[in-house]
Amino acid sequence: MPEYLVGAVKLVLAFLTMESSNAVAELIEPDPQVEPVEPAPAPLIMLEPLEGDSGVCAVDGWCD
Amino acid sequence: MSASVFGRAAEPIVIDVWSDVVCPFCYLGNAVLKEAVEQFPHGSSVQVRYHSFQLNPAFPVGESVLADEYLAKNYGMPQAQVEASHAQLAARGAQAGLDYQFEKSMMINTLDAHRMIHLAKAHDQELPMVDRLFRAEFTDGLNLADHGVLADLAAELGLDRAEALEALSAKAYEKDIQADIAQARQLGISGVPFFVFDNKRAVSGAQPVEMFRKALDVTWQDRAASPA
Repeated sequence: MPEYLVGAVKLVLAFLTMESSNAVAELIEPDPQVEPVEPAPAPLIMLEPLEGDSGVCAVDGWCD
Repeated sequence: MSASVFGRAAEPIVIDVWSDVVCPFCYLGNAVLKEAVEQFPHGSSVQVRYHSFQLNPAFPVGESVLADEYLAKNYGMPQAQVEASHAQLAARGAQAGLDYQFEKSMMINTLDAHRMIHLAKAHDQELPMVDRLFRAEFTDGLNLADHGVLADLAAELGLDRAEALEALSAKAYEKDIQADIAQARQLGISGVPFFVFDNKRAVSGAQPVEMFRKALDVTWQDRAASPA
């Protein structure tokens, strides 16, 4: 094979190898900007208190 | 035979409870919920799961102060008002079989106490540990910031004392505790106790037993109405 053809084949092979490596990298590399989205829980149905105190201690430590 | 017999209806009703060890209403709510489950005809099909919540996460870890002193200092609450509030809750507690000794209760950072609940959960002793910690806080006046005290309580329930001490010194279950707190935030919980029935219906606060019975009845009806 003429030397110029050998050189051309090597060039094409190098290009193809580089392309496929990049393609694999693109497939497996996670995007740090995108976080997995968890589905929002369905809203709870609150049962209304019967009477009297709330019976709750609030996050500031106050109980009512 | 319908599928629901072996399907959805055969699964327990799950009650998720967010509470904190230094929350007096949580002690009452725990007792009242227990009473409601005992009265419920399908009580054997109920599973209660406790989740960590911190009312006072900024309180210094390892320190302790009498709860009354803390209330007076931080809220400027007159002693007479504190006593009246305590007397009212103590009366409700007595009806539920609880013996509140507020003058002995300590304010602490409850992170380590929550570690003990998670440790007990790993050994199928979650509910006995919750009960024991509440009694230690509100009846016995024990200092739950003290690792030795917490390890003694674990040993009392048949857990390994050395394992409890190791969990405390290694700050074990941190992720579980924070996950519980994050879930509470996601659900919009700003106070405790807070009860979620089958991930659908919720009760806020230490409500009367009738309220919890109603929540159980409605949850049971939800199951009957939903496809298996």
